[in-house]
Amino acid sequence: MSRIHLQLQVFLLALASILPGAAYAASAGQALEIYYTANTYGEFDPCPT
Amino acid sequence: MGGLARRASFIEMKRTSAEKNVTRLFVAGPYELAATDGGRVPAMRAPLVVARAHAAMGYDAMLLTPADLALTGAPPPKGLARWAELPRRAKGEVLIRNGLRIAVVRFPMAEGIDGRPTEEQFRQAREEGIHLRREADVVIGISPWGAHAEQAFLERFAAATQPYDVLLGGGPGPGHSGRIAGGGSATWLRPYPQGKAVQWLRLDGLPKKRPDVWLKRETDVRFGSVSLDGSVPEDKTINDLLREIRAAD
Repeated sequence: MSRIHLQLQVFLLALASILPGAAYAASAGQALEIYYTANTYGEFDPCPT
Repeated sequence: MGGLARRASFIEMKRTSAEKNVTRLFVAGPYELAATDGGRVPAMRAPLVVARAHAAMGYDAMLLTPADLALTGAPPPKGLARWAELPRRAKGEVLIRNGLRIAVVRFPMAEGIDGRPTEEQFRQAREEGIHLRREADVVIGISPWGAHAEQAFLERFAAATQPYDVLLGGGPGPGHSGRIAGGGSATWLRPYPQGKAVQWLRLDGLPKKRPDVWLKRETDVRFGSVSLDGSVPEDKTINDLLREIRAAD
């Protein structure tokens, strides 16, 4: 195996080990906004008040 | 005030107006279709149409009660089918949004005396929250237990690590626009009835929030409520859908 092939293989292995983690890693300083409704009791149109 | 067409328009506006480093989650809790006392409600005039309107909202999470499910039809519309299986125990799933791992736990219906949760249900809901905390940045519970039981649940862990960062309440009891609860490290939202408003809560400084650290209002957490009044436009698709019911009246 040539040196270039070996380097490529090492690079791909390193990339494969990083990618799953990257998919789940959130960057710092994030905010989560939750918009919530419940207890609507089947109302579908605006109420008068 | 209120109405599903305005809600849809508001959700769509928030969903499409991106803000850097802000993840938005849209959650519907219990009793969206039915009443807590099983009484007659407007959705009963055309329950499948109202169920389709909810399905079109594209909620990220929802808790349907048996009373709600009795009105959605079987099987329920595609957008609600994911939540059609009633949780017999507190049961969570982890959603990944922008790299944030968000655990959402649906609480079961209360099985104790006078419609209260049993001690075993308290214990199991706590365990599920603690279990999911290992794999999530934020843990959210959705409850149909009512205000009294929810407060008792949060206070139970006031001296210990809170199993939940956010408890989204539902069922009997008054609504409020958001509280820091359970000793100061959890947050609690209760909806105002009849869908007149959308409550919101914002947690900052994620994913580093620790469950044992007290939250500070306006620094770590903010609460709010958006009234669905005439200033919020009505979504045409939902309006057209609901027109079927109005025409039948």
